[in-house]
Amino acid sequence: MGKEKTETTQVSTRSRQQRWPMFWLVLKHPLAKAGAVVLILFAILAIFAPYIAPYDPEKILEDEAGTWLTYKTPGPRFWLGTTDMGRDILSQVIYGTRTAFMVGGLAAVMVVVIGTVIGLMAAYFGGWVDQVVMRLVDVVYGIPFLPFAMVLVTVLGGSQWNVIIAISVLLWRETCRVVRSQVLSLKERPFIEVARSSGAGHLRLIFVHLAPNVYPLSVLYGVFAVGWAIITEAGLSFLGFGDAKSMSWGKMLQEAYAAQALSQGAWWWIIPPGVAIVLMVMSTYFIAQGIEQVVNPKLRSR
Amino acid sequence: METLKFFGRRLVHSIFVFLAIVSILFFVFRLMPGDPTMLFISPEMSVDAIERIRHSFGLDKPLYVQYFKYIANIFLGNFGISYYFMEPAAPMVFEALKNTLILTIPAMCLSYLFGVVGGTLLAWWRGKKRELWGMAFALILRSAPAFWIGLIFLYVFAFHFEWFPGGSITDTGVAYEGFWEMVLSWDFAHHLILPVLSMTCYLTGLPLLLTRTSVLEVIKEDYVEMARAKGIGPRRVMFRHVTRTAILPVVTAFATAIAYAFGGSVLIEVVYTWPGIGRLMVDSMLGSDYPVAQFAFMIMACMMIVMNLLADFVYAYLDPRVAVK
Repeated sequence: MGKEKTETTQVSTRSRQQRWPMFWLVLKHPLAKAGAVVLILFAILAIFAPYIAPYDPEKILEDEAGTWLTYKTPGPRFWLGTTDMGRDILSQVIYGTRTAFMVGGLAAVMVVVIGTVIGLMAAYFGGWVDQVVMRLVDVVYGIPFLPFAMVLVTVLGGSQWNVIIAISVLLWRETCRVVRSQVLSLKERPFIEVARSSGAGHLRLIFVHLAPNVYPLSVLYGVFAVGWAIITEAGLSFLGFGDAKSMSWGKMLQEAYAAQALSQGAWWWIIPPGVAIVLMVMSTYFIAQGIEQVVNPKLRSR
Repeated sequence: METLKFFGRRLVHSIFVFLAIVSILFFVFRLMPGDPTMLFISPEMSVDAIERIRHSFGLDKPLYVQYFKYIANIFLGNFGISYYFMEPAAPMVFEALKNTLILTIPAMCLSYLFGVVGGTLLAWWRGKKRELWGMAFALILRSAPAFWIGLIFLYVFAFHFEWFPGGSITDTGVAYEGFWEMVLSWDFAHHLILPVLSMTCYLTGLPLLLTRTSVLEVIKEDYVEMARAKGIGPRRVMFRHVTRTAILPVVTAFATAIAYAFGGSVLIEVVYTWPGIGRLMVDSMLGSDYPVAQFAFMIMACMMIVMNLLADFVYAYLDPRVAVK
């Protein structure tokens, strides 16, 4: 009886680890652990923003006499102070988390999907397909990233979606290149030969046999893309090419810069959005460190 | 022979890439919101006058004619007239490019110096507590947006301590005879320090992490073991034997670094009101001066294509196996 019980627990833990093998390996890395904690905290902020934020981020706050509460230094009432228009900075930072998650998450998904599919196709079919894809990748590598994103957002219009599209249109190049070279060596391996001789078609070979072997790599580049996308969105917003309607950390910095917060000495307006960007991007890079150890065993400590 | 063929092939590819990017630019800029002529056409103007202006810019012709004319003009060295200043775009852009290069080149050199040394140290500290903190620091540095670092430096050193000027390339009202006289002046150096430092912070992450990864791979090679066995001190082994080999992929990533630098320089230039190519492009985009924006973009793309090509050549030279494949 007792023996059976230990057996079942063993089986259940093993199956859990088998279902998410990468997940558990990644979290063994101390930096990845720290990154995951920070990211979860941000996720809580983003989901419950309306309940956590003390004020409406767009609302101009007034005192009893009706004067605007502009440039209030951080204190018990406004933890991070207020802007030149009397808006609460803490609330703005909390709502900005939502934009960061949306831009980072969606851009990463698009980068992973586009890069992986194109890379798989190029390497699997080879020949002229590969030639065309590689020339396309060459072209995309020749385009300056941020300036092109600026141009695209101007053409498409400054909405959140267009910012995400502008970022993804260029960022897939790296994923594609890495996935392609991985598949090139994978497709020479015996298991592909076996699958082919037992009658697997192109689509089955690509998506059932090859794709699962490159997905850790795609995930790694997807995680990098999250950081890149958040930084790029912030840059675009700072330059005035972002979505004017939604609250983002880049837009906060742009407003602060335009309002000359620097010469006003309003350090509390400049520091929080930047720290938020750094923390969030950092947490993704930390997680990427853990993934890199799984993907590239050469890096594991001796 | 194989190497020559490889170089030839890469050169042809680069020309193709250039043409493709130039074509993409042409069509994307045609899709820009608003008619490019509306900048200086006032409502009182007669239909005739508007037509004349459209004609002078060649905007009344069909799109494909405009396209071929545009491509031909690139090879003839005509890069369009600024809608705003009514002068050729090229001299403005080249003037700005000079200012950008003088900002990016020192920053690139510094970041590579810090990156290679720091990356080697991080690899050396493998498995120690120090490595973890070092890695965390490097990743935090890489996570910080360039313009935010710029803003912080500007606040601390220019506005709080007032050690440095708050932007621009020289003091206002000071005139210089030529470019070099300006560059060699104390006034200019004073304006240069903060932007270069901000940019260095932003650029250091890439060579640092690359060097670390590369060193970690090289360190396991037999010849390193051999050097150690010969009794060579650990510091000498690290910097003379390991880094020398490990630096290869880092050097060839220089092209990527340039691409990276242009993204960052746009933002740094805007923060420090530095009259470089990135800021020129942002201003002309926001002001609908599309010929200038388009040419500035083309020059940035050119730089990247040339750097990519150079990286291929360097790599093929250092590792001849690449060319044969």
